[in-house]
Amino acid sequence: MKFHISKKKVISILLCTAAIFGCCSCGSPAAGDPGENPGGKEMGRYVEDTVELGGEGGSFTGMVQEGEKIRLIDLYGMDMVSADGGKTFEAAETVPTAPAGEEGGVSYVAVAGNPDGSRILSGYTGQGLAWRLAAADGSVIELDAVGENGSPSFYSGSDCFYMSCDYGIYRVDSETGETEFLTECASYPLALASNGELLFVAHTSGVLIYDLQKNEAAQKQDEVLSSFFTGKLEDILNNPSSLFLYPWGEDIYVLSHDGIYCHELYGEEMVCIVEGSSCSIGNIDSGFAGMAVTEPDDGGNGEKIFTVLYTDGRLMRYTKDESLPAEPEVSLRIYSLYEDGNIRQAVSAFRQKYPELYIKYEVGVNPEYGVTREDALRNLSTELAAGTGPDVLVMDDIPFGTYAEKGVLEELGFLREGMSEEEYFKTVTDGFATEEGLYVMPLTFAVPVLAGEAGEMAVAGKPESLSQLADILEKVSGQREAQNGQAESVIGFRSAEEALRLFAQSSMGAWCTEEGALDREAVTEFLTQVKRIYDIQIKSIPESMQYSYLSGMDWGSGENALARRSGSYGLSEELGKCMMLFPGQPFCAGYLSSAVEDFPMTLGRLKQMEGEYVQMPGQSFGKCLASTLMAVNSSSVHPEESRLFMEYIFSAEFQGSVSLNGTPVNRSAYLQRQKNPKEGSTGPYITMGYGMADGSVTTLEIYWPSEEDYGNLDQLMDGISGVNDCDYRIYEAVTVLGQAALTGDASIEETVDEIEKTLELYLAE
Amino acid sequence: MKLRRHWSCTLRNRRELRRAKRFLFLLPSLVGVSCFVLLPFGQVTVSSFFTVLTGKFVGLRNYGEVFQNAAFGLAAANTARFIAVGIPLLLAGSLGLALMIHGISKPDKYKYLYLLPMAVPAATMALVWKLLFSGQGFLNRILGTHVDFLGQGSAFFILVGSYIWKNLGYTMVLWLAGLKSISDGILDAAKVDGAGKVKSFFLITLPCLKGSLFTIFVVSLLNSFKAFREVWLVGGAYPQRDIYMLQNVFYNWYVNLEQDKLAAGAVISAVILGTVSLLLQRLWDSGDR
Repeated sequence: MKFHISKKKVISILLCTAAIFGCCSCGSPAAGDPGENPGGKEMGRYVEDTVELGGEGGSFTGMVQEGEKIRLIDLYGMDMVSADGGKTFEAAETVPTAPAGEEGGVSYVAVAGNPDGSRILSGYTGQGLAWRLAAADGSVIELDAVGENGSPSFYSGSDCFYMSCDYGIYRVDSETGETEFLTECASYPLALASNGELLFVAHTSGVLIYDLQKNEAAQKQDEVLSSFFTGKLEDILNNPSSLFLYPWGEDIYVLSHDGIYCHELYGEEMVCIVEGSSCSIGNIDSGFAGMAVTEPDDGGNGEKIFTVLYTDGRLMRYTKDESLPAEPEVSLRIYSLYEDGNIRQAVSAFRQKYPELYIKYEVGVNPEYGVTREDALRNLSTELAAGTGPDVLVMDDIPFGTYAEKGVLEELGFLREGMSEEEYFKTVTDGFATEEGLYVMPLTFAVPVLAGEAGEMAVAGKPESLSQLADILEKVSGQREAQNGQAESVIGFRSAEEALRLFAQSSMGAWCTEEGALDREAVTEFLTQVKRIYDIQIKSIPESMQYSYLSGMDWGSGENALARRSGSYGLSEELGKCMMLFPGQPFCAGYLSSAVEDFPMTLGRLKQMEGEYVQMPGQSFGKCLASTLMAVNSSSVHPEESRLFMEYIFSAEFQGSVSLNGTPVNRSAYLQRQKNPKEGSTGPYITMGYGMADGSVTTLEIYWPSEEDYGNLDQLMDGISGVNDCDYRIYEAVTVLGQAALTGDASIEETVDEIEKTLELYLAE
Repeated sequence: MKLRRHWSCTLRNRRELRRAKRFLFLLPSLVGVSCFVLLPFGQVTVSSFFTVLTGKFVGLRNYGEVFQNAAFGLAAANTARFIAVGIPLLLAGSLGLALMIHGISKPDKYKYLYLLPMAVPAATMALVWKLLFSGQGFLNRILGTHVDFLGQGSAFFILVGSYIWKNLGYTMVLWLAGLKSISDGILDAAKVDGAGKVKSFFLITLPCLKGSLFTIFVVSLLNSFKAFREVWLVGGAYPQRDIYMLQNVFYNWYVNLEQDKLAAGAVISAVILGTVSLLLQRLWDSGDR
C-alpha cells in the first residue's frame, strides 16, 4: 500500500501541530520561571522605604557613591556616610578645612562633593560669588579662574569634579583645583554624569557623550538616550532637579518624575524599572539631589537597589520585593482632567502613610500627545460606562452635575457626617450640596478680595456690587487725574481678558439659572459693569502696556487649578505686578489663597502700600472659589480604600502638613498654618527684591503676620457664604467672547447674543 | 421502487449539502454582522429602557427626554435636510456625468481619477474649508470681504458641496456599471423605432437603472453620515447650528455621559432609517410588479 501525501498537506499538518502546541503552552509557565509564581501571576515589585538618618538629619545637597560607600554631602560639611549600600548612615568625619558656616564674613556652602570628602564650596563675598575647593587633605584652594567665566554649575565625579559654565564643559582636579577645558556643548548643559570613561552631558538639545580617554566627543552618540531626554525637557526646564543621570557599567540609569529607567548604552530601549506614579518619585513638587545604585547582598536576580536623595532632604530606598505581585491586588486610581499639584501631594503623602496600598494618579489631558479636554472626557466616559473607571475623581472642569445625576458619583455622606463646624469650613465643604445630596467636596478654596490703600478703602467702604466698585473707581480716577494732570492706573489689569477673569472670580456663580440655562440679564449686567471699570483702567495706562499678560502663559498645563481658571496666582501676584508696574495704584484685586507662603507675602506687600482688604464686590458677593473638587466613583472597585483616601486628604494630618494651592477646607489645618515656621526669630520671614519699571531694584522685607492680621483673615474666612462656581463652557464663553464688548468691537447686546448663540446647542443638549 | 427511493434520498442529500454550503459561505459575514452590529444594537435597544450606568429600569423615559430635547430636534432636522438636498443632487449630478462619460471610448481607463476625491483625508478637507471659507480665507480675499462663511448659514451649502464633490466620482462609477449592463441592442432597437436620446433615456435607460438606483441610494445615504468627520474637524463639538448633525449630538452626549439619551437616540435614528429603507424597497418592488 502506498500513501501519497502532497507537500501542501505536510506543511498544513506541521503548521496545525505548531499552532496546537503553541496554544497549549499559553498560560502555563514552565516550572521555575523566574518572576512568576505557580499561579502564573508575575511577581516582584519595587517598594519604597524611608531611610532614617537619625537626629535631625542635615541639609544635604548631594549624594556620591563609590562602590557600597555612599556619602551624603551636607551644605556645611556635616556629611553622613553609609558603608552598607544605603541601609544605614552615620555621621562622617567632617573635612576639617571645610569652612562650616561663617568664615571671614562669608558663608560658604557645598555645591558638589566627592566620595573622598572633597567638595566645591560657594559663597557671596563683597565682589560677588566666590568658589573654593576644599580638598580631602584639608587644603582649601580658591577657584579664581572659574569666577571669571560667569556662573558655573558643578557635578560630582569620582576623582575629580565636572563643571559646566555657559556652553563650556570643564574638569576640576579635586586635589589641585586645576581647571581643564574639555569641550563646548552645542546647547545649554543641564546635567553631567560620568562613569570614569565617558562623560554624559545632558543639554537642551539632547545628550552628548564625551570620551574622557580620547578627550573628544565619542564617535558614537546615543540617539535613544538623547530623544528620551529631550522628551523630558519641559519638565526639566520647569524644575532643573527633575532629572538625574547615573552611569553604571554598560548601562545608564535615568531618574525622572516618570520613574527610574535603565538604558543599555547605544541600545534601543529605555526600560522603566520603577514607575514614578507608584511612589514619591512621581511627585512633581519634589526634586532629586542624588541617586545611588547598589546591588542586594544576595546578588538578587540582577535587580538593583536605588537610593534617592530628594531636594527636601528625604532619603528613600527602592528595593524589589519578590514576594509581592508585580501588579498589586489593590490599586487605587485617582483621576483628574488636568495636572493638580494638590493631588500630587495627596497621593505622595498617602503612599507614605499607607505603603501597602498601591495608588496611581492619572491625568486626562495631555498636550504633549494632543489629548484635549474633550478627548480626555470621552475616554473617561468610556471607562465609566465599561465599569473600569477611576476610583477617585477630581471634578475640576468636569460637569459633575451630570455625573452625579447619572449615578456615577457616590454620595459623600460618609465624609460629611464626621465634619463639624468647628473643624471644617462647612460653607465650603457643603458648597455643592443639593437636595439629592453632596457628591463633590473641594479640597481647598480661595476668597476673592479687593485690596487698596487704607485711605481709599475707608472712603470706598465695603462695596458689594460691581456697579458700586465702578462708581468708586470713576471717582478716584477723576480725583487723581485732577491732582496729577494725567490718568493713573487704578486697579491693575491690562487687557479685557484679564478684567473679565478677575471679576468673574466674584461673579460667575450668577451667570447660570437654577435650571442650568444662561442668565442673560446677569451676563449683560456683568459685562456692562466690567466695561465701565475697563474703560477707566485702560485709558489710565500707556498703550505699550495694554496687552494681555495671560496670553503668554500656559495655564492649561499648570498644576494650580485656581490659577488655571483665573489666569492669575492671586492677590499676591497682582500686588507684585502693581508694585513693579504701577506704584501708587490705589486698588488691587485677586483671590487670597492664604497658603503658607502666600498670605504673609500678600500681607507684606499690602503693608508696604499701607493697605487693607475686603471681599471682592461682584454678582456672587461673599462666595469663594473652590478647587480640587473631590468625588468618589460609585462603582469603585475599591470602595473602602477610596473612602480611606478621601478621609485622609481631608484630615488635619494631611492638610496641615503640606503646602496646598489654596486654603485648606480643614479649619484645624488652616489654623496650624498660622504658626510661624521660624518661631522666635525677630528678623524678616523673607526678603525679596523687585525690579521696577524704571530699572531700579527695591527690597521688601516680609514679616510673619501678627495675631491681629490672622484675626482679620479669620473674619474674612468666616464670612464666606458659599461657593462661586460656573459651568466650564459658560465661563469660557463669557470670558472669551465678552472681550469684544469691553474693547468696543461689539455692543454688549451683540456680545450677549453671540454668547447665547455659542452656548445654545450645548445648553439645549 | 428501491432504486427510486435511493435516487430521491441522494437528491435530498445533495440539496441539503448545497444549502449547507451556502450557509457556510455566509457564516463569516453573519458572525461578523451579529457580533459587531446586531448584538451591540440589541444591547443598545435594551439599554435605552434603563439608566445605562446604574442599570435602573426607566421605561420610555429616555425616549421622552430625547423627543423633548431641542438639540436632538435641530440635529435631526439638519440631518434630514442634508440628506434631502445632498442625495438627490449627488444622484442627479453623478448620473449626468456618467451618461457623458459613458459616451466616450474606454471610460474605465480613468476610473482611478474618479475615485481620487474619496482618497482625500477628512482632515485635509477640513483644512481646505478653513483656507477657503474662513473670515481671512481665499474666498474673502477674492471678494474683498471678511465674512466667516463657516460661521453662518452658508456652512450648510459648503458641507453639501463637499459631500457631493467627494462622492461624485464613486457614485458615477456605480452608475457606469449600471449603464454598461444595458444591452446596446435595446437602445439600437429604440433608435430604429424612432426614439430620440431623451425618449430613450426616460423610457429605456432610466427604468433599466432602477436596480442600480436602490443600491446607489443606500450607499449614498450611508456616505452622507461620513460628512460628520469634516463637520467635527471644522466646528468641533458645537459647530455652526446649520451643520449641527445627529452625530454631533450623539458624540456630545457620549462625552458628557448622557448615555441614556444616546441609547434612545440611536434606537430612534435606526428605526427611522430602517423604515425609510424598507419603504423605499417596497416602492421599488411594487414598481417592478
